[in-house]
Amino acid sequence: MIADLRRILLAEDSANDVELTIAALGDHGLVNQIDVVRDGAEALDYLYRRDAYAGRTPGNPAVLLLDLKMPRVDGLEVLRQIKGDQRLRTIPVVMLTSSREEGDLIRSYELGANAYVVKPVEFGDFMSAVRQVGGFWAVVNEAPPRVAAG
Amino acid sequence: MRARDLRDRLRWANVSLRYKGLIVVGIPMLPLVVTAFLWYSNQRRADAADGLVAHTLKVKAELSHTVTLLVDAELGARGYLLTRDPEMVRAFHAATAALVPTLRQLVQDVRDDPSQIARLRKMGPLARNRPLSSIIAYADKMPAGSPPPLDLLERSRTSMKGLRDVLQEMQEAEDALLVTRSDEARAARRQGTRVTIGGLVVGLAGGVFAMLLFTRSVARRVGDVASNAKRLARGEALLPMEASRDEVGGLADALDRAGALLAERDAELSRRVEQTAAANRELESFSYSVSHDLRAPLRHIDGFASLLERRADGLDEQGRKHLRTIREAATRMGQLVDDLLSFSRMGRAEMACADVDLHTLVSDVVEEVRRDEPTRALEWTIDPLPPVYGDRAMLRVAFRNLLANAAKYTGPVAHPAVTVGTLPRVNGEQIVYVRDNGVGFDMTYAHKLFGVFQRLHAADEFEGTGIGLANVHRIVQRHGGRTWAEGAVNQGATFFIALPDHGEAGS
Repeated sequence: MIADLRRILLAEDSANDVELTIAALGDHGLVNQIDVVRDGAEALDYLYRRDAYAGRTPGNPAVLLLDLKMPRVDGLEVLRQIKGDQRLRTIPVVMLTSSREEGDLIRSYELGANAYVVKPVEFGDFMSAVRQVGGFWAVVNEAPPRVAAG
Repeated sequence: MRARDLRDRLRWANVSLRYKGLIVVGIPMLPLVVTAFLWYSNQRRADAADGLVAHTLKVKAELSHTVTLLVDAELGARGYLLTRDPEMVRAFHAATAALVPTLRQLVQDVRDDPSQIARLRKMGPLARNRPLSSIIAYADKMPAGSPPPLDLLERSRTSMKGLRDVLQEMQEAEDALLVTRSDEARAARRQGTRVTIGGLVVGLAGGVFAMLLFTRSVARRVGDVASNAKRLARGEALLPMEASRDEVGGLADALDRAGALLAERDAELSRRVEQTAAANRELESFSYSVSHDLRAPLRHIDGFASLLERRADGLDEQGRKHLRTIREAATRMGQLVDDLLSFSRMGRAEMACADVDLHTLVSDVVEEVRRDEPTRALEWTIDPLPPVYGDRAMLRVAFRNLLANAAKYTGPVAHPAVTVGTLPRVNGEQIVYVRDNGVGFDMTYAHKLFGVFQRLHAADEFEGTGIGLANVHRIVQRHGGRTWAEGAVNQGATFFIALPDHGEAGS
């Protein structure tokens, strides 16, 4: 049996947001479990263990924190591919975004997002939101049983 | 080319209505006029034939009279020979005298008929050969009882017979004429009847034909044009109409052109609407960018200022205050961006209008506002509110803003009270007001109340971005209604919204 990964995958193109998110998760002692990808294409490479990520430890992350607006492949497309793939669809996906647009919300839930979190402008709120999300999905939540790992 | 032009112009549909009318009236009239003429000429013919019959009868009477006179003369002469009665001689002379004008008249009457004239001529020698005068002379000369002049009597009988034969021939000729002329008169009369009946039938058929021609061409086409006019009025597409160059055709053409013009305007309008929609989409994507791109740097400002705050050991109190200010400014700008976006959404959102139970809606919102500050002693009064027509979600936002405002601006007042009520419905408008006894405002600036980011109070006095009333105004405006406010400094404020009974949906 393969060891449980319990890793948090953060797909985020903004270096500032990455830093703030890591700072928030660091407060929760989760900092060593974070893998960061900088766009949708990289996120898919990570999940399918190809190219730069061909050598990573097999297994799905405990949760994917997915930004909507990213270069190359955007968040909604990544979400669509994950939820359309037998091996990936059990990964909990939390949309973590600046957009409060109704259309984005509806599209995300239609595609099967597990949660939708609008990044609060106020840092205290932001910290608490990220901490709650990370803590819940990476610690509290029981991960789905492993299917044949990709 | 010219022949085709002519044929084209003579096409029934191309004949102008005036001439069509003439033709339609003329079709039954022409046979009637012809009939009248034929009837008249036939009548003349019948009259002429009748005249000829009468003439023949007159000739026949004259012939009979001639025979009678001849016989009278003969009887006179013979009677005198037998009786020597002078009365007989007078009768003879009278008959002979009357014979002359009678014969003259007869000659006059048959002068057009050469065969009769020829017969009359034969009578001359026969009459001259009559020895009647000689018989009378013999009777005068001889005493009564003497033997009769047998040769004279024989001659007299022979010539009399000759005369009778000739007259009989003439009678027969006239009889034949009479038959022919009577037949002719009868035929003329019969033909007159036939012509009259025929003319009436043709005229009647012509009338029916003209009527059909009129209804099938003119009336049907006028009907087509009328129904197309109705379709035009209803904004439906026109049905094809028969092309023609008469007045109906002109009407159809004009209608077609009006339809085309309308369609063109329609297309133009659609283009404009499409342009507006495109502009709106652009605005939408702009809003999206603002939402996403503007909020991110704000978050970063606040985030990094906050991280800096954690390691603020090296900062003095002044430095820490600056950091706090940076963070507050970022938070406030985030609020402004959010409010501006919600305002823009309120202007673009599709409206779903229906009857809205305003009383329940307002009561719910009051509950919400009350929950925000559960410990506050604010006295709410909600008069019975009538149902209104509008978008429920939007009206909720409007009242949420109005009631939250009322709660906010009554903050400093000792006994805060807010009333929601209505004015009597006038001119198809329902007016609802929200009255508070709060800090009020200076009426001088009333016109600024409903503007975006317009505020009549300092931000540190009352919270808010100044978007609430702008939202109220936009929502009511989209319902086709009006907003206004009355108030005075420290004497409370009343906000009115007037909603039309069936709001003109749209922006």
